[in-house]
Amino acid sequence: MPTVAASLPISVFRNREQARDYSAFGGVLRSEIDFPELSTSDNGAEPDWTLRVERGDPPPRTVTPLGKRQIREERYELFQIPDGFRLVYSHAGTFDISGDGGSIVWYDHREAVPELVRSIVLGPAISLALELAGFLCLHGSAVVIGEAAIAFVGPKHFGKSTLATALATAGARLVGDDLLVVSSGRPATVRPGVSSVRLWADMAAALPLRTVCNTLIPGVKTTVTGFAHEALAVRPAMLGTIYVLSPVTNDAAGRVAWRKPLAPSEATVALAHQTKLPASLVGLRAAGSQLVAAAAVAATVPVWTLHPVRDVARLGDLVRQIIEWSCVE
Amino acid sequence: MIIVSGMHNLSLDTAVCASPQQVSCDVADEAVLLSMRDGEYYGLNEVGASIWRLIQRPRTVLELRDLLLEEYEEIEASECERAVVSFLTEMIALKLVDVV
Repeated sequence: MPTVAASLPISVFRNREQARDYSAFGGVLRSEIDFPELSTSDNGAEPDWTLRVERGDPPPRTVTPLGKRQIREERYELFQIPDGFRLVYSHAGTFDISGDGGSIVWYDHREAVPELVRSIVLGPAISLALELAGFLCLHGSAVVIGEAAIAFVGPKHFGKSTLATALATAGARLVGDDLLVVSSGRPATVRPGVSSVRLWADMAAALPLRTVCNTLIPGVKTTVTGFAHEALAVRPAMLGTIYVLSPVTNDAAGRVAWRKPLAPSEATVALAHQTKLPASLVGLRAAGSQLVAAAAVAATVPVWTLHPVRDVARLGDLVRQIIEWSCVE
Repeated sequence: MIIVSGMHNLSLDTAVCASPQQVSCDVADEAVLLSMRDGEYYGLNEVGASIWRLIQRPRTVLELRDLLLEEYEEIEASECERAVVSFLTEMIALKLVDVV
């Protein structure tokens, strides 16, 4: 029997005619890559975004560098091309994104880890598409309590995912993790995102995750997915509060957390600093657009600095405190 | 974010204008700026935002002082002049305001 496996696509890829539709960020993503972290969409709607896979090297284009970013060994670069943008990742290949954000083409990188490719599509690539459509894309996590969403933004390792997941186990509905798609307006709203969360193993072990989800995938981080329907926000929600996280190791007064409201200009700058696509990558012109979008959101949504005490044993108290605050607003 | 403040000498006849090398927007009564030179964000309080709106076209320091005195009636002219000069001096140093 001839060996053909080496020349076949990796199993996560689909043939073009088999592209599958997924619900994500309030729209439909038609993809030739499988996304186990997304819910499939079968409502027959035209896709908002299509993701195609092309074999081989990307075609040469006239490129204008916009920005770059280096995270440890990984290097990211964004270029303007005549009909859109080109995102080049050292470890995952090249992504061309059309000027209207509707089309994403990934040029297959043979050594790319599928999980990394998916995270880039659901992170920077789709963020770029959404920003082109006028949304503010924040690096954060959110839940809905009652009718209003509470968002947590901040740098990596500040506890965004942990807080959102802990609140979900206490009855809140998960809006999304890592990328928050915010629409300014009166009221500002946040769109449901990816219905899975990635947690550090110690946090995953500390939370009663089985009460809200049925799948835990171990890894560098534990991927928590398979959330129960009632634990998910499935429609855009009014954005009631945004917390900019600034954790502390302890509090002399014994509090589990405290918060401080930000003046509108402080809030705007704080949000601009927490965009999913940093100015160093997208360039200052796009950063200016992000600032305007952040100002529109800060004008209508209360933004606070939240100082939670880093203490897994007090996570339940922290959740109760945040819920209590949400009830008085 | 940097809150702008400072002191310098500018004459009343000096004309100034907001630099084009920035993006700004109003937030409530305040304003925020992003410098296109260095990517730094700046916040302006209510009075700073008032001056910023006025210098979207060239204005002399004297014009600015008089316009602000109309808006903030409780301030003395000399105090207003000092505040305007202080603000503009720092904004010029940050290259967010040009002398024209």
